[in-house]
Order: sequence, then C-alpha cells, then structure tokens
Amino acid sequence: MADTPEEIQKHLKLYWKVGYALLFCTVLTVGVTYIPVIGDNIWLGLGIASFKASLVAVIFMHLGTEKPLILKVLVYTVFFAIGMVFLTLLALYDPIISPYNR
Amino acid sequence: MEIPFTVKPRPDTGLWNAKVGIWLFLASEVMLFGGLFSGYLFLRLGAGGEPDYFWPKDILSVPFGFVNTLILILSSVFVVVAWLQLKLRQFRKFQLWMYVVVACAFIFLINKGFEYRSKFIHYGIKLSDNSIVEGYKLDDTIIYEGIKDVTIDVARFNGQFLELIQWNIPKFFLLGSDGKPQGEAFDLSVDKVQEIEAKKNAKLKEKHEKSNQNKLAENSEADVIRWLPAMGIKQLSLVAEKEFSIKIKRKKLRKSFTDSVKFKDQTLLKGTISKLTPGVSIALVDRIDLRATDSENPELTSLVWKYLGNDSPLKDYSAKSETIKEGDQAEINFNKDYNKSADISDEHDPKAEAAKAKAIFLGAREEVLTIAKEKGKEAEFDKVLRHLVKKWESKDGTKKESHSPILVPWDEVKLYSNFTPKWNTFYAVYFTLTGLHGLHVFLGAIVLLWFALFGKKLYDKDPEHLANRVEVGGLFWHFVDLVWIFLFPILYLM
Repeated sequence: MADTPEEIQKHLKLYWKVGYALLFCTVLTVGVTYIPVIGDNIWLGLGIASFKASLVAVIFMHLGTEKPLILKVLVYTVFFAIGMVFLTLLALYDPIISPYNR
Repeated sequence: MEIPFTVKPRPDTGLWNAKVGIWLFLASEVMLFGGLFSGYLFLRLGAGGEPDYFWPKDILSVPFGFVNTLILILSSVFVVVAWLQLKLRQFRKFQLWMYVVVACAFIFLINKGFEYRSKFIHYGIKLSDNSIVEGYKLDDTIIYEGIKDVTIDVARFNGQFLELIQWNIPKFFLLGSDGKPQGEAFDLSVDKVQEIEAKKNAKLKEKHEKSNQNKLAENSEADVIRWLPAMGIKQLSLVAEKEFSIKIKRKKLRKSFTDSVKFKDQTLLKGTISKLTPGVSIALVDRIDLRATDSENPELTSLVWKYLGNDSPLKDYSAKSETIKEGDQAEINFNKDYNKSADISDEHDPKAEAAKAKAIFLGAREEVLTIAKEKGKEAEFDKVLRHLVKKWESKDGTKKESHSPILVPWDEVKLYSNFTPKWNTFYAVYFTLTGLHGLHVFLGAIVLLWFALFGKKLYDKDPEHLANRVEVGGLFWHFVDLVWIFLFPILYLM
C-alpha cells in the first residue's frame, strides 16, 4: 500500500466499512436461522461465513494486493486442505463393517 | 551482522522476511484447522447413521456466541486501525488501539470461560433403555459397607482406600493359603506392604535359589533360571480385624460391582453397596430426552418415569436419624454439605415435582404434535421426544415449573457425566475446536500486548520495522478471527 497520509486515511475508511459489513453479516447469519425453511439451510450459513472470511482475507489480510509468491503458497495450501476434507469424507462411503453387526 | 530484508523487501519476491514466515506459518495453521474441520464434518455426517445418537442442536447459547463473534470482528478492525496509526507515525494512538484489541481478546476469553463453566456444572445420565435425563447437582457418592476382605496389587498399591474408610481404620491380618488369618494384626500402609513384599520375596528367592542348587548338584549341566523380580509376589490377600465401610465418588473408582469394588490401584474390596447410596442422583432435572429410548411407547413407559421423583436417601439421612452414633458424625457433616448444595429441591415434594415434570413433557409433546397437524406436516422427531421440563408456558398461557430430582439405580446407569468430551462426540469436537481457538486468541493477545508495551524502543529506532512486526501479528489475529467466523455457525447455529 502507498504510505502517503491521504492513502492511509483512505484505507482507514475502507477498513471501517469492511468492519461494518462483517458485523452486518454476523447479524444476518443469526437472523436467517429464525426464518423457517431458509433458516435450516446449512449451506446458507456457510455461504455467509465464507463471504465474511473472504472479506477478512482479501481486505484485512491484504490478499487482494499481495505478492504472487504468497498467493502461490496459499493456492497449494487450499488445494491440499480441500483434498484432505474430501479424503476424510470418502471414509463415510467405505465404512468398516463389524462382523458382529452384519 | 545485520539480517537483510527485515524492513525493506527483497527485490526478487517483493517481500520482507517476516511476511514470508507468517504466511508459511498460517498455511500450516490452515492445514491444522482444516484437519479438525474435516474431522468435525466426518463425525457430524456419520452421526446420522447412528441409531442411538443424535447430533445435539440448540445446546449452546446463541447470544453468547453472537456477542463473542462481534467482539472478535471488532478486534480485527481495531488491529488494522492500530497498524495504520503506526504508518501515520502516531505511536500513542497505536498503543491505545492495541490495548482495546487486547481488552477485546480477554472479554472473549472470559465469555468463553462462563460458557465452559456452564457445561462443567451441567450433567446427564443415560439410562439402560437409552433415555437421557439432564440437570444440575449430580451426586455419585457410593458407600460400601460390611467390608472385611481386601486384595491388593503390591506393585500398584497407593493406600487410597485407607483414607476413605469411615471412622476408625481397622488392623489387618495376612490371609494364608488355607484362607485363615496368619500372624499378628498390623496397621496397613504403603510402607507396610513394601515390607511384607520384601520379606515374602526374600523367602521365595531363597527357595528358588535352593532349588537351583539342588538341580545343579544332581546335574552340573542342568538348565537353571536365575531369580527374576517378576517371580515375586503380585497380590496380597488381607482380612480386616472388624468390618468397615468406605465412602467415595463413583467416578474415582475403576470398577464398582454389587458385591465388590475395585480402585484405580487395583485394590479389591468385598462388601455391599449401602442402602443410603442405591444409585446416582440429580437434584434438579431440567431436560428429558427419549429419542433413543428402546421402549415402544417412550413417553409413558421409559425408565425415566420410574425413577423421576426419587431423591437420594443421603439427603434425608441426617434428619431421620434420632440417635447419633459415634461413627455417624462424618455422615451427618457430609449431609449438611449435600443439603446446602442441593437446597434447590429442599422445599419441594419430589413426587409432586416429578408429576409436574411429566405433565410438562407430555404437554410440550402434545403441543408439537397439534401444531404439526394444523400445518398438515409430520412433527419433527427432535421436537417430539426431547423437552425442557424445568419451565414451560403452553400456548394458552398456562405456566408450569418443576424442581424434580431423579435417582437412577447403579445397574440402570449406562453413562453419566458432566457436559465434557466424555458425554458425547459433540462436546469432544466443541472443546477441541474452541479450546485450540481460545489458545490462539490468548497467545495472539500476548504478542499484540508485547508490541504495545515494549514497542517504543524499536519505534524510535525504525518505526517501519515495528509497523512490519505489527502487520505480521495482525495477520495472525485476522486468521484467528477467520477461524471463529466458521466456528460460530457450525457449533452454535447448525
């Protein structure tokens, strides 16, 4: 980021705006749980959480303007983390069946 | 030698050292929490296939979690604001914002502490028919009486049971191979056991060596085994001079049977369970869960209804005993403490309270079924057989409140615990994830506090260097916030 006082003030305003957006999204996450049908949708809750997480990552953690090396490291990390989740979930479809419960 | 690229970025990557370092660390953190989240998903989705386990919902306080989320998000904003103050070369303002961040962190942790405490003091009992009762003030005191025979594991004996003997500790005799007491009575202690073990082993060793010598005398090339410590005695059977009784919390025992009790050091005592402690009790039942019950008509035939309204006999013991025997004093002192801690049910008739609790359960169930019928839908299974029974207000405005105790006989208890990982998978996941996250909050707050308190020296030397450090600390702080952003909905809302 540029280090001139004007630029910094601009960033300061942006951070507060993002902060308010995050607070609003938190209220929204809790609010939707009170709406019948929609509230039970776990993907909606996770969707809002993912949006909040991306705001934090892109704006607060400066990933939007980060250098390519960092982004490469993170791409690999996210790839392996997702892979790990799916590998674990595969176990659900390949359960160990006890010979006593057949 | 000065370390290069601590402030100015490396020309080829455009990054200074600490930035690369923190991102590599955060990548490892993503994998760590990713593994735990995948474990959560696996357990949660797998729970659907279990016939007697239902993933708990609505058991954490949403307002509590909501407030903590707001606090953490605000602290994330404050961290970047503090960092920008450094960029503006406003050290005092930077310090102030940092203190606010640290205050947020500690408020978050204190809130978490309250939430943890509420779980530690809340208990559940799973009965043999898989019914579950939840409530407060659990008492698992167990008294064994008429004990004379004691078997101890000499290697593990720690003397714990001696401290639990009511009134006077008797003397003990060793039991011979003929089952009769041998020698003189002695005071039992860890030292005494070691002394007996040494004496017995010396005799055994002597016998063993003599046998070896005889073998060698007969045949000088005979195979002989030298004495090994494992050949020594392992157990000692003792008999007490007179019968005694012990009192202990059931969870501190290794095993408990109707005719004997085993301690964690493997000491086995033969005796019977006192009529004063026929089972585990909860002084105030607040929820009944019959979803997993084996019974065909659980709302009427579950074992819960059989035992609800029975109070621990220990509670009234002191009031009923007219003459106080010498040995009863300890009992009465205990009961005073018990009554003090469980006074919530003091003024209530337990049977009447149980009837009220049952009426609340059945009323709430009926209401769920009626509403579902009106809407032309099938009633939700979770809401039909699981209800709070402490307080209830029906749709027509009838208010009911119950203060029912329950006493479940030992042989009908499948599991009992406070709401910790022992109780169910949800709490194992909850404490692992939030505990690890809480640790991150604590350590992050310490690092940020360090910058605020001791950063002035570095600021005077090179303000940009301190700004870089704060940026790195801030990145960690945002990551902690990011983890909570996912934890809040999956643990509190779903």
